[in-house]
Amino acid sequence: MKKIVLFSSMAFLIIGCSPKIDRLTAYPNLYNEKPLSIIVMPPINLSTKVGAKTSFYNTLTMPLAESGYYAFPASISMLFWKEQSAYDAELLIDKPMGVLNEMLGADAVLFTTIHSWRKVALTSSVEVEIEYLLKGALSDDVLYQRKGLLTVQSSSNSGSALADLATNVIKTALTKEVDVAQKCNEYTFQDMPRGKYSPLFGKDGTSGAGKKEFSVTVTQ
Amino acid sequence: LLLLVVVMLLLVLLVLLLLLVWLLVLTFEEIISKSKKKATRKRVPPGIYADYGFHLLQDGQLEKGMRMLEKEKELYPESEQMVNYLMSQFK
Repeated sequence: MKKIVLFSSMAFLIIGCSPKIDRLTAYPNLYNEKPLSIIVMPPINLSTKVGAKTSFYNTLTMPLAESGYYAFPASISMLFWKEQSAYDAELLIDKPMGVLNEMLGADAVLFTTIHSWRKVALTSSVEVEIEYLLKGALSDDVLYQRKGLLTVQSSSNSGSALADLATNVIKTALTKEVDVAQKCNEYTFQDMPRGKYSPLFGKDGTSGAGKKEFSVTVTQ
Repeated sequence: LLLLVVVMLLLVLLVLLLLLVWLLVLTFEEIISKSKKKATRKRVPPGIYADYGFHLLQDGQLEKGMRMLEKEKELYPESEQMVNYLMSQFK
């Protein structure tokens, strides 16, 4: 446990020292296009975890809304995807999205690809590799793209290594998939430029942007 | 006797389901009343009225559901097309 703490603090130091790019240079298309409404596509699940798709799909709208965008409710867009038989986003990811703007008035479409989902019992964590891609519905430009390897940790530390191991194994087994997905989304969207409903709209161009490809440990 | 047990089990399931629906409705109304006072913008968050309306429509409460959807359109004009699509599904 101590080693993990040491390593993570070192990682923070290294990240803190590296030169940062601001959001305006990282996501210029997003500042140009200023999308207001975002529709979330059902995630593309390449992992072996069956529940990952729904866990991510249902937790994606809230961080977007909190960033100041109008995210279409997951339940209503699901009705639409099912009616249009567009439940499989992998068939649509490189197609023009203009039809969504026509039919629902969406400015941007969010695709997510879950590359892997793995439980690591020994370190009591869940490892998720996920890619987020926001495309403009009219321009088909990439507005926001990040790929992350997130380790969501749910460990306990009582002093006794054996007891810790046992409780950690149980805790990992009990970690809810939805909570893991929520943590991943929250972490990734932290550096997303704020939308029209945020008081920071248009003012956060100079704030730091995260790395396009990152790997991080989040505690639960 | 077996039939009785099955019927009892079904009844229990039904009650649980109703309880779940009731909980869902309560939380939506809670979100609406709380966000008007406590949220940063003192407004109901995007999608809440639409989501609530959708659940009411599915539950058969057409009038109240439609009223909620109208509120969503009023508060967030960008949702108009989406809400119109949803309304067309229940007409």
